[in-house]
Amino acid sequence: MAAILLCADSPDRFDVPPGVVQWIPELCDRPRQLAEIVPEEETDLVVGVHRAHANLGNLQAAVRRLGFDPLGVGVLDLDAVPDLQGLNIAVAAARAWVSPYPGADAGRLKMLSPERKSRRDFLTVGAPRYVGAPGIDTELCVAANGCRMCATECPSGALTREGGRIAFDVNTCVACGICVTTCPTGATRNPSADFDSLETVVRAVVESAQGQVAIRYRCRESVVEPESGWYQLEVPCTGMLTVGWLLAPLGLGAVDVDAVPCGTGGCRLGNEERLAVTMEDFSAVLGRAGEVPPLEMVEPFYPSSGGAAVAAVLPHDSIVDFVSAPIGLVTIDETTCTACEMCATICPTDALISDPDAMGVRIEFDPRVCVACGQCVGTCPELSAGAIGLNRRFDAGEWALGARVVREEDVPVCEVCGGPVAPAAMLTRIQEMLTGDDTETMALISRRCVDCRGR
Amino acid sequence: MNPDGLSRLRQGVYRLLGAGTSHPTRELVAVAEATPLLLDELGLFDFSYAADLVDACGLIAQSDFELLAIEYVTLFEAGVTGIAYPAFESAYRADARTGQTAELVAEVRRTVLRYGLTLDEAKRDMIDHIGTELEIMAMLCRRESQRRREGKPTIKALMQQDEFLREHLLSWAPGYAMSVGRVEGHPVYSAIAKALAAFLEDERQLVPLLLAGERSD
Repeated sequence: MAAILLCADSPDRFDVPPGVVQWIPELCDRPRQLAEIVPEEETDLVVGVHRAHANLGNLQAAVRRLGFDPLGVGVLDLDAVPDLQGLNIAVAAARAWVSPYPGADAGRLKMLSPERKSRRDFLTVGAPRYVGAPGIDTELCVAANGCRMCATECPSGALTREGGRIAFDVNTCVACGICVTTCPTGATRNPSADFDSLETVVRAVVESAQGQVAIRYRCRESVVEPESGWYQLEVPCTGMLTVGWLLAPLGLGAVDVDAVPCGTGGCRLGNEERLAVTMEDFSAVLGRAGEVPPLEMVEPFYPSSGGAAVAAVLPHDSIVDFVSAPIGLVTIDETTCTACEMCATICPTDALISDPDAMGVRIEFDPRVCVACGQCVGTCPELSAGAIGLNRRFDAGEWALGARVVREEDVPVCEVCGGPVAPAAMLTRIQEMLTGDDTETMALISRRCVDCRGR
Repeated sequence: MNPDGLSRLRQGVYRLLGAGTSHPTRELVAVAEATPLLLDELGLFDFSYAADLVDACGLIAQSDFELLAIEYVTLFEAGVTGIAYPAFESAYRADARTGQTAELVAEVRRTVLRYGLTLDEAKRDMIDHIGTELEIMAMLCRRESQRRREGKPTIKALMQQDEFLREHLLSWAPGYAMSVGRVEGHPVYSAIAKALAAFLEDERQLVPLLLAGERSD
């Protein structure tokens, strides 16, 4: 059993039968009183406060004193609850949050400046509030291959690619979660923005409401007016949402889904445009799909930006164009591509792979794992010649086709050692670039591999 | 919690961890149990490292001093092929073959003297030992607390803390602490190291916030 303790500021609004929850007077202002209320043997804790004026740092300190991990406690916002049914749903969601929370190690917490919400707070230093910060699983991270998606998308510059690895500065991080959903391999994780937790919470919400509920994503910092039939699901920043994250609640049985940026004055991180693009792509999918069928598995929604989810919900003859991610079709122009394999080297999801052997180079493309990150385009040395292109498009026919060879090129054999010299198209390109009549150099480059040219 | 309480809390935690990472004393074992209660008065549970620190104190209080001393030597002072977990900054940041060790130790010494702190030359540990560096931070927190009580500006003390953390402690101690925290068979020192890692990650973020707050006031 979980102890469910709610601030008794306005219990009349909900008319909850006694015994289901405990209404605690002034819980928002005096969270330390929890020490006298929560039984020692309690293993789960759900706390309801009014976010508009509760000092969450002090609340975290109070539950920490009780031996709980503050981020593993279910906290519900009573200001976001419209009615009694909404309260039951919010309690179910808060209880569900407790179980999948993976915990945070040292260095995976972001300290926010102490909140000052009351006059008393101005006279003292309030307790700092912690939120989850990203950590990078070096086993999954492919920065060594050139990937820099998280660093490119990070709005605060907290993630940088240095010497083939991603460096993280917690002091610059704003814990928005964008790095989590843009990482093509799922290497970036944040315990406060975890897809497993999302799935568990949405399932609990839908079950509690017997399917009659819609999900409204909202930012950590925003206050959104409660509305009957809508459950407000807090994420660090709605800018982190992807088409996959928006489709997931529908696949899990919610009747509708939407997302709102910071309540008033726009997103403080400047991510409204990002959310608007995602919503446009989401609308494009919904417009074509009509309705989202129930999904047994939501695993395909993550870690990619949702390409597999799109394929799961769209009819089999669909062609849908996207503004940004989640899915792409890479095209290679055989006349200008030199088969240098840079695109396959940098591709973080192995949508593009190269298969060199003694006879030649083969580059394969599989749209089912492409996340339209565009890194192949950015790294192509022959981009200006139009060697590679990326269409952010779902084409059911292409999807069904799966992996296919998009480029094949012969590779001459070294006259000394018998090893590969370079793709023939690359040698032709080098010849074009060499000025004058330096035929001797060109002959050497064409006939010998790099290791044998000095002999 | 008030600002003075915060600097006294941090001073206390630095001192406790400084003692916990140095050669053990009977005094450390004797006071470990009561320390979290004292620090709680100053706001210990406002911070994420509280649980790790309480765990470490509990294990220190339950431990046998003689066995603890043996564990310390085994982990941090002896070893057939060298010290298992050297507790010196220079062991991680300097190449002994090129004389960088002496340079780095001299740099720490110069920094400490520049801060106006006095060194106890009779102490057995080198100045770049983890325990000594934590004690230096405790002294800087004490200075901040004293100035706060006297109504004097604290920005210089905070700048010194920020500098020493960035230039020295944070450049090596988190990695050291993470390594020791993973050691099996030495639960006391593993727990102390986990508390140290958690505390330093907190300090990495807290000191710049305090400094920014002081500059804006």
